[in-house]
Amino acid sequence: MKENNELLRIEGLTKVFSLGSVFSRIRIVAVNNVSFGINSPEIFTLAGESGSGKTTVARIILGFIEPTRGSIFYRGNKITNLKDIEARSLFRKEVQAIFQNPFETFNPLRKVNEYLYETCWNFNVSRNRNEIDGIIDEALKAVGLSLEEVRDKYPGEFSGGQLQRISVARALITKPQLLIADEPVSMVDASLRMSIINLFKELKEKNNVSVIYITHDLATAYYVSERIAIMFRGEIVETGPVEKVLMEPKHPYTMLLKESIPEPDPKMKWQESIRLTASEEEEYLRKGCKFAGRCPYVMDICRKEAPGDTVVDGVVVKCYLYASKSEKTIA
Amino acid sequence: MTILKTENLKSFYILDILGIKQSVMAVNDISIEIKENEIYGIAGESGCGKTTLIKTIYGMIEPPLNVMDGRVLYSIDGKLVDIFSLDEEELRRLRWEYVSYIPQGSMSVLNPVTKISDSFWDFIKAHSNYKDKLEIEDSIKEHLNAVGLPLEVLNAYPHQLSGGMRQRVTIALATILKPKIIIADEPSTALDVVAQRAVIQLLKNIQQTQKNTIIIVTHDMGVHANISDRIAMMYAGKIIEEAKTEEIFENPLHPYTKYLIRSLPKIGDKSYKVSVPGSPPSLINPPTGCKFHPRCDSFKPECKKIEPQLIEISKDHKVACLLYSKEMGQ
Amino acid sequence: MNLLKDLLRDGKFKFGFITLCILLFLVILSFFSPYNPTIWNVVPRDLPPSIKHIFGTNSQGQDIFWQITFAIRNSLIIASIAVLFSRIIAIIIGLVAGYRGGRMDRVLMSINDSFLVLPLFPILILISTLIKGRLSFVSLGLILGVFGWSWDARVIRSQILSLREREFTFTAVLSGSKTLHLVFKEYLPFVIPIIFSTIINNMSWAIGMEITLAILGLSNLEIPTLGTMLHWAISYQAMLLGLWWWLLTPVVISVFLFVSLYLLSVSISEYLDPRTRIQRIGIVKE
Repeated sequence: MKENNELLRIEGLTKVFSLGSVFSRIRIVAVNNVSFGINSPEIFTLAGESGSGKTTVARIILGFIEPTRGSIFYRGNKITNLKDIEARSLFRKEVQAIFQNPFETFNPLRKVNEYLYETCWNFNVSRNRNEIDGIIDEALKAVGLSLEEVRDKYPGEFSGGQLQRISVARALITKPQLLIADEPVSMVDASLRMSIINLFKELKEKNNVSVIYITHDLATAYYVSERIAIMFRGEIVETGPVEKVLMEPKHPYTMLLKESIPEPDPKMKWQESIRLTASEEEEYLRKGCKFAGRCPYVMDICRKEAPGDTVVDGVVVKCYLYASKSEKTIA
Repeated sequence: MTILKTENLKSFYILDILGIKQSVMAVNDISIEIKENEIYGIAGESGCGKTTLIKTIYGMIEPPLNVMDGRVLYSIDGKLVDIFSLDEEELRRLRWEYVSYIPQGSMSVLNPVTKISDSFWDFIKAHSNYKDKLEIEDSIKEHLNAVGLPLEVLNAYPHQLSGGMRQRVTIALATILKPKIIIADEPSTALDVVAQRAVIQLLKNIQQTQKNTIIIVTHDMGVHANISDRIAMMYAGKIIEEAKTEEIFENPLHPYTKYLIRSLPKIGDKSYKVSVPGSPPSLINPPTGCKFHPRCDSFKPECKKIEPQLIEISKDHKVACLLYSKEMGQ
Repeated sequence: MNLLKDLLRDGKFKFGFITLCILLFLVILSFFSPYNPTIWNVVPRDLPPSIKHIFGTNSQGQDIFWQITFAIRNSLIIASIAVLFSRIIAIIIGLVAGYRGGRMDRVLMSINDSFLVLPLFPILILISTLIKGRLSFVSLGLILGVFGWSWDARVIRSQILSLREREFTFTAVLSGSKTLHLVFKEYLPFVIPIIFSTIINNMSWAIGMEITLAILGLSNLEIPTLGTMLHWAISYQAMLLGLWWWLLTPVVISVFLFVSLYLLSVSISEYLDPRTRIQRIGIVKE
């Protein structure tokens, strides 16, 4: 069921990594049959802990990794395995990204403004020196900086927060329609995070840019996005409006995640204890539901067969707890 | 009862690059008192000097770090001892038995080529007088049970455990000799949310069972809210506010603390949040007077010239800000 | 120049640089030599050092001081050719193998490793014996070059491999950079210090090889080089005859040459190391 202004659609995306030596190879299914759509404009969160596959999904969308199976559609056109150079260039122009570590985003031996110039030049945003300066200054002003402050300086001369903002400015030069932000504030100090998060809100409201916000921080996800998908070991276990999913979580993993967040409020301290698994590899290779090893509501069937998607109360969940109560079951 | 205190502590990094000398004033005149049987949290942005502060408190002074001024005193058997007056050997004995340190990224502290049980073994043998093999094994098992770790980890190699489990093992290792003070530097920062919770809970349990003191350093206010009894806010090498956790969250006084607490997002709250304006200051050329003045919206001309002292405004609530010292008639 | 001033602050560089300058001065002097170095008996034989002959004369009737100026010059030329040639090969192979990966990488590395494990010395001896008389120093340089690239190609390749995984590679791609541009603008600054330190090491190696071959009598003994001087001194049994100045001069000069090259190599690569460069960036401005 496609919506009118669907910007991006991911269908059945799967990525399998083969690790090990010649004699013993393990297959890790980093991304397992992931499907979702992004509207225009919208801020969509892809949430999960490390090892959930969220960064791999981002890299596949950006074309840095080839998927093992599945397709990605941008504005209705299939872009996986895209050979046409022009189409690829157009895609890069419209889909930009920023990453987690602001100190690694730029080459420490190069001046930061060079990246801004290159982006302008390479995507034909302008080829006139003076015009380029103006465009870069505008992009930097939009993130609270200016060309004066940034000119001729190296990454080591800026703070993490500033670098991250410059990174956003660079991504905005081509006036993209979709911004993929992979853990954009987890390495930025808590006191500076909101200014960057608020930027995303502004982008959506003023410039109609959609954002895929990838994070493990549910509090900022709640603040900034409309819809959220929770990923666990390569699968999306729950998707829906952020109020429903985070205020009334349905999947046991979502419940666990929510409980584990250290609320910055001393009145809401953690109550009970939780279990941890010793080996993550175990969970990846498990048959049936991957969360069965830690789930407080585990049933026999959970260990044998992986659950399918069920729609309950406007939220899509992958859990046997709801299989009977479903309004509609999607196999 | 005070178990550790610092008096006007100053420790700087003296850098010499290409003949140009610079001082990074990471700990700039800090005086704090930490009590027995409490969890004392030190909070602040990256680069504010918190790690340097606890390195100094622990006595890990290696060039280019230099203690320029002040003292660090431990209360040992009722007497206050200046740790810089002790020699290498005495300091070494203090470590791990009296005070143990869990460094940032301590997951790499475990020896990757030996089993966990061997790490425990080597550790206990090096630091205590247990001779009997059986006794040592029993005490290890007892301790693991007490902290809620499965005994299976003893037979594993570090790389076979998840990040969260490794961290908890490191904490178990640090606490097996029941030290009076445990210093934890960002113990849960590199971990996932769920593992983080387990680690923090472990620390809490240990404190409640052993009734010792934990000094926890982290920039994550949520963690402080869950575990710390008192919090000291650090900014540009100085302590700018210190109070009970509830006080800090419900009634922050220093403008920086106010900004910080109000900017923290919470689930269920979609109201507009704002960051602290501006950027963290340089520790080499910090602003004059109050180090926060360039970013403060309550700025007054005096703030540029006078450096506010940390004074007690209400019971157990100290602030370093001219807004309040004025009121007190300073 | 600022660069030179910065480098001269380092004591190691100072010493190496001054020594090298002195040696290069001697090389320049060779163009003003009153004697043709290949002709024998132009001066009285076996004279100890004096004001007229600063380093004395040898049993072939040549002034050792002027001989050594040519020797240094020729040794350096041979080494420079070897180094230039091997650097070019190493860089190209290292960059291509590192960035392309896959099949290309495997093929190139197999070739590389074959060169690496070749028993260099016996092969050089074989080649020199075969073309002994006709071995001009350009060909010697080229041969040494062909055998000197494999280690460094691997080093460069590993550097590229690790750089490929760093986040700024992605940023560059997102900024629209093409492959060639990426490799040269983003990676080369990291690769240059390696190349530089290996240049100087390579020079030392080439000079050493040349000396060894010459002593064994396997290179063209007519051309004066550090190696051939040593060869003649040894075969004329200079030590036994008490003609210590004949043996000592090339030995001492060689030692100074190696030491200065080493010090330059160490100090320059320290200076160019990305980690120290990054440290320096903020400092000079403030």
